[in-house]
Amino acid sequence: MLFHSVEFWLFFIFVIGIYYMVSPSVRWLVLLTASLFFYLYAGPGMLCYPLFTILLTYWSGLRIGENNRRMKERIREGGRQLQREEKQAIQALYRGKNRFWLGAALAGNLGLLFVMKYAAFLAENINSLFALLSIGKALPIFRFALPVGLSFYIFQSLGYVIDIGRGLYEPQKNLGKYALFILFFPQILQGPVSRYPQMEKELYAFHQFDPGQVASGLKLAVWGLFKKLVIADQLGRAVDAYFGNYEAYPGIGVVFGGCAFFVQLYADFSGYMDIAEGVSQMLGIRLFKNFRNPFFSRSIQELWQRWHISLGAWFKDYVFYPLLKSRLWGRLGKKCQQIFGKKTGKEVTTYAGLFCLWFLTGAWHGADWKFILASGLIQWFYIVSGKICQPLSERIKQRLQIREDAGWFPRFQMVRTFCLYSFAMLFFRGASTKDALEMIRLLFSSPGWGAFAGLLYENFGALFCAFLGICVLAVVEVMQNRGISVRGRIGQLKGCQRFAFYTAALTAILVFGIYGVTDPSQFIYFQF
Amino acid sequence: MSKGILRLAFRAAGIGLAAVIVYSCIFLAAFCLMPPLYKDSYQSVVVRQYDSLREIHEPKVIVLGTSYVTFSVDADLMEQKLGMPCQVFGCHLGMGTRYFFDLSKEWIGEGDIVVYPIWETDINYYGTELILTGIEGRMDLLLSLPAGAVKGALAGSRDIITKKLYEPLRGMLFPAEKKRADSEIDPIYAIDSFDQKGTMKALRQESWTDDVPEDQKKRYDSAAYSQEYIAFLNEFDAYCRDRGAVFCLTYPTILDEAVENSEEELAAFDSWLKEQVTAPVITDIKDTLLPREEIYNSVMHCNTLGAEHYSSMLAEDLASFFRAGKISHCGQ
Repeated sequence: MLFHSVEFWLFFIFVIGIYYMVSPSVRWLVLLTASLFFYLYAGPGMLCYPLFTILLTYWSGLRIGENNRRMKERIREGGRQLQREEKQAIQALYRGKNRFWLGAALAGNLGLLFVMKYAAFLAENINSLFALLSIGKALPIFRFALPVGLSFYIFQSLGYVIDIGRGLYEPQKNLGKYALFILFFPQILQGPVSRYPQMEKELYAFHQFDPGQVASGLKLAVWGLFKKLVIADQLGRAVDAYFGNYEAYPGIGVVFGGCAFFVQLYADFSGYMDIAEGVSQMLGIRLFKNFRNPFFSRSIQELWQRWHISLGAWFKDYVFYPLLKSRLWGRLGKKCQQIFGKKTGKEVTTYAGLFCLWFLTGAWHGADWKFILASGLIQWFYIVSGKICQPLSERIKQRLQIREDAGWFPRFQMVRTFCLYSFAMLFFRGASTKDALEMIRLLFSSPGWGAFAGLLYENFGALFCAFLGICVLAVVEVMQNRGISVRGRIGQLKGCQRFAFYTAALTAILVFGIYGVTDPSQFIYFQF
Repeated sequence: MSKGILRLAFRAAGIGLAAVIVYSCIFLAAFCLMPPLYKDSYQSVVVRQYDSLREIHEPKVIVLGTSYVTFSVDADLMEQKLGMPCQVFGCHLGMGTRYFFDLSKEWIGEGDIVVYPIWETDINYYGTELILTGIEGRMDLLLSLPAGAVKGALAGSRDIITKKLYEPLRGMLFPAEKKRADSEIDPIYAIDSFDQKGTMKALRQESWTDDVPEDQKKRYDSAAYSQEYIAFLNEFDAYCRDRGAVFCLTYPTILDEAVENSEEELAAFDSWLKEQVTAPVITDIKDTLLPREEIYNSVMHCNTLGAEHYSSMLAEDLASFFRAGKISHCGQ
């Protein structure tokens, strides 16, 4: 059930009606039932995967929580008489037990993720290696239909178990409530990857019906629909036309392809997030903010702090920092310092850690080298080369007397970041890595103005609508980046002005959006 | 709380309703008032055919179908042979076969003969977007849009609005591309190819020369004719009878080498069809398989020679049918 389909909105009107009608103590049950129905709608067989994840992480969480409780109890019982060694022995005993349950949760979930998403990719790569080495063997390749939202809910549930293991919070004892945390319908398909303490407050708390809150959520959802239907889907037509026949559009066509897809991806993904956030807000629930005006980023590093924030934070908290703190990394760091010296050795260790982080981030997006490159290794290269070249760029800035705060310089940095990310998008959207490399070759072959004009002419209608949408988006993004609340500003208008504004906005979606032609188009991040 | 919900729902509904009204006004302005964009298009012939059909007040022959009747039936020739007015009613397949049935219904009268060259189709399909471009500017046809076509009207109306907004700008910004695109359109697909009655009059001298590509190969297969389709034809037959008209079926023209069936299979299909439909099938299926010399740009489109052949044959079949006493007034 897609957020921009009629079925979804009929479903949601029904859910919100029931939600506010029933007693606050059972509202979470309404949400759980709705979430189960929402997921079942994608295919009844699909539900077994999140149920497996829920049961495994719920049980592991309970066991770990119980061990933590017992450990604290025994330490408390021992009091001051307890020797330091004894205390450590108790901690080691329970941590060992926790390791088992944590290992079970990690192995079960990551195993499922691996089998469903990566096994075929790995087998293909091993077979290619065999072929290269003239080994006459080949691994069988099994492909499975990827359950929707698999990567999102597995990450969310693993974060939950790991945090309990760290003793950050108590596990949820009610299986139904925990299931709701994982299955909550606005976020299960594309995130954000939420954290339990924040969602606990939101999902199970009593939410008074607040007309202002509901109206505000509705506005956000409509804005999300605008981004998806008017910008992403319209731009998508031209993007599809380019990537479907990229050989015909060298030079400027390649620039167009990369940049247009970046904007499309942002409008598509952030549009989904706005709808998810708006729908949740109507239910009185606040979701984690996943985007913060990424087009205003002055570096790739900053862009990733503004783009798909919940995923970046997850990787940082559960992969990057634990990796840097691990014994293995410590030993590696010492080795590097011996070889390269203290400062460089430290940097090499960090860059190696970043490499792992970005490799996994890329692989999370999809089992294909193009994703590993686009959202992983290219980003790593940008960040690391930026850090290595920083002294050089500082010297250039000094020599040319460029001031960091000069009006044009931040803009230049934003444009540069936009271009760099758009370049990586050639890999993301291209059919394969080979195609992306061919596009890069074509970028430098000829300006290709004639063919590009043909592309624009053929897709003028879609680009015209998307352009109008992008103009509106730009105004909103600038306002948001300056800390101006757009919804607040609209709220300050007089009643009739507000009415006219909303009517115009809705009419704009009806006129310039794509809908009703065939089935609604998928969101791009659904595939992950 | 319920008061709050009601007020919010009322406001949201009010905004939604206002948006629909504003949208409808914009669409009507684009559809009727703004300079026409599709007046020269191939599909706009539906308006000529419809107007001509309305103006015939005596018993007439109506040949229904899609582009295969546009290309293959010469109404004037049939008129000469049968001695009664003849009207072709059908053009672009993308508009949906059913649209032509629906639109003709009101104008079928006592003594009329409705002929339909039967071919597989999704009888519930309406290509509303294309229909709206075909009937551009005609409020009466817009209002008589069949209920089944209304579903697609939102997307279709949106296309009309946006195209009217951007098309002049596109031509202005990309004159060379526009010229090239215009030159790539086969001139036969334009309103100038038709006479005032909507009969294709443009001379089509070229004939089919290539081998038949895989995607153009045709097969008479009873499985492709749904029971819904057959039931629709039988209902239409009953409707014609009620109005004192005769509905009969024939076969469309197809390049002989494009048909994959053997002679036995064709005969079997013919028998199957005759068992299924209540309307008479007046043509021998083999007669509608034409040689390359009579086929134009698609395996079901005739050139001028083919259209003459098929129209004469159709007229002859109708007259034979009349002579056999099954139609009382044909060929007087």
